[in-house]
Amino acid sequence: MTDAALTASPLRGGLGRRALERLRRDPVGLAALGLLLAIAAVCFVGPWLSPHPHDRVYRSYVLVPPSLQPYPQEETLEAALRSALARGRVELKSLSVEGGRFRAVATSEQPIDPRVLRYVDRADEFRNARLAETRDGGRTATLDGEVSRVRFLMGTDANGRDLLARILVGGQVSLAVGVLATLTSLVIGVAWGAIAGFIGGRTDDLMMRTVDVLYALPFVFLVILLVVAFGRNVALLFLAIGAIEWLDMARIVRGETLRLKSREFVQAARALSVAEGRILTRHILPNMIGTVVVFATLTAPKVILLESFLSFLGLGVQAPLTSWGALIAQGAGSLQGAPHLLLFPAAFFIATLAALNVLGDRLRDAFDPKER
Amino acid sequence: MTAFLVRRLLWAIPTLFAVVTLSFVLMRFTPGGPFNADQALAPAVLENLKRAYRLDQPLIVQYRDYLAQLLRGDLGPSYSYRDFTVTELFARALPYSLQIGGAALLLSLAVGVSLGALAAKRRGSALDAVVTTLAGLGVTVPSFVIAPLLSLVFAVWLGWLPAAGWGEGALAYKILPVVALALPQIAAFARLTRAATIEALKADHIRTARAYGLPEWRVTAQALRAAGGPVVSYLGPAAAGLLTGSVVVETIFGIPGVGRYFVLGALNRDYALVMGTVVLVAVFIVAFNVLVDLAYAALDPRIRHD
Repeated sequence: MTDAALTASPLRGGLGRRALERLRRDPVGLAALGLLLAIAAVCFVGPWLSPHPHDRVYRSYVLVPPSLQPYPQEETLEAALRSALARGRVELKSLSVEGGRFRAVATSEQPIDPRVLRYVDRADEFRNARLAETRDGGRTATLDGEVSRVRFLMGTDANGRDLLARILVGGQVSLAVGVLATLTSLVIGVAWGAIAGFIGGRTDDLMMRTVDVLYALPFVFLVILLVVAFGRNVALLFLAIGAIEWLDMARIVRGETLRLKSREFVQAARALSVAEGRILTRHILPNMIGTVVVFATLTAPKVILLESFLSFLGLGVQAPLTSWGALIAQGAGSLQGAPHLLLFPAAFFIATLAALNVLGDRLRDAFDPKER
Repeated sequence: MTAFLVRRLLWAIPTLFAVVTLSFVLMRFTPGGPFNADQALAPAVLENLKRAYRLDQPLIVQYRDYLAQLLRGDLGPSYSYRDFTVTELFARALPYSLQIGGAALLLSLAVGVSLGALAAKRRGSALDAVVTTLAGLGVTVPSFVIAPLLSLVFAVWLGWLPAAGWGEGALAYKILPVVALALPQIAAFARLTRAATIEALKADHIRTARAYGLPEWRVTAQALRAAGGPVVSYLGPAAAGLLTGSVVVETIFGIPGVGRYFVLGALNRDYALVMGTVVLVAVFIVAFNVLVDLAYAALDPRIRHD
């Protein structure tokens, strides 16, 4: 049996190697692959380097436009400190800012309670505030502490959350959907198509007519119904999307199976009385890896699109988690005041989809036997 | 030909049946019900409501009733839009979707096919490269990205067109939604036409036509006719999708069409509205698939003899 299995592998390796070789000499395909890897790396590594958690709300910096300038701006500090102190019934008398530190003098009618510092620390602008000295029986105090400087490269959303951090986390969700839902569709589609093609006859008829009927269903509707039915579980969302997109894969795999079934190496395996199941898994399936990989690359953008569409409608991942579709939906709702909320997520989204589509096309060309 | 048509129409019956059954089952097994409003209803009121809509019957009875009702052409009363039947809702909203979708369909067909044919005729030229790249981008970017971007550029930044609304049917209000719907389809038609025309221009009868000295535009017309197959078969589902409204475009541009009803229905557990939308779309798909088969036969005489 080992020998029989080995006869198939040089062909597979040869096909795959030659395809990779062709891809390596294709600058457009490589650029698409590079862009995709870069986006994935940024999305999965970026959040570790970002100073902003994706769900941290900065009340003081709502709908800040994208810029390299650090916040807070000097002129807003006094008002911010005044309102923070006012919560503890303390009045701000003077404020001086030097470097990253501030120094303020405040008075109150009662002796100043040190707990007022919590209000100061809770403001997004300040941290590590302390009472440097008190005078006047505690009614006048000097406070000092640090000014908390933060940057929002892509601005913030309507809740004051850093957009870049949200895009990166949303990218993780979108890319994870791309991988997991594609795998789901791959498993179902390959199993369905291979079994139908390999067994043939009535089973084949029945299985492929089922696929025909499923094709005729309004699929966007079905996936919406599935999502509404399964609740808002992210894992189930992935599965539901994958379970929708397997039909094309099943058709293609069936066609490949029919083609390979009549080849000499399959007859040779039969003559050596290799079990039927083993012929399928060892001789037929490995020979269509190229086709399946190419088709999976073209399925990934479809499932990412579907997830984003659902999230756009508010049916996908739920806050505080997010995805590119959800971010684009928010951006679409605030065109007037904050176009950056639309432009940045849309740019990431379009770049990813375009890279995936180009890569899929190039891989298809690379694997195409007619092109060799 | 008639036999062919009858066979196609007969195939539509099990398909529609499967669609209705699957949607019915899925919808009924969805947690929640049509009367789970924000404020809880008194149990007695809920009982009465359920009895009024016959939701207290066993599921199989409800299913049988729904099928019987459907055969009479009645889609039933809506649960969330009280005082309206689903048919009335569609009668009000469908004209909006048909107008926008129909205009988008004609636009995308005209522009997409011309661009694709031009690119194929001048294969390898700069025009071809531009069309191919833009078409590749166009099929990649979905309407829920294109629509807000168009709105941002033409309504907010340039101020040329209104951002949303129907505006008593004024032309200016229709431009952005039509373009947003049409752009991805233009890209798809251009791609299909280009590939099919390149293939068709290689065929023997085109060489014969050239050898006879036919003018180039007639040769191209012949090639386009042969290239019509893939375009027409894509046209069927695309037309059904465009004419039954897009939830995204209708939401973004505030158009009161039928596209929104499915999502609203599913969220409100408005069983009748969801089922009605499913039936509406399925009927459109089946109808356009039959039309596509007829067009196929018209374009390619070989099919007529099957």
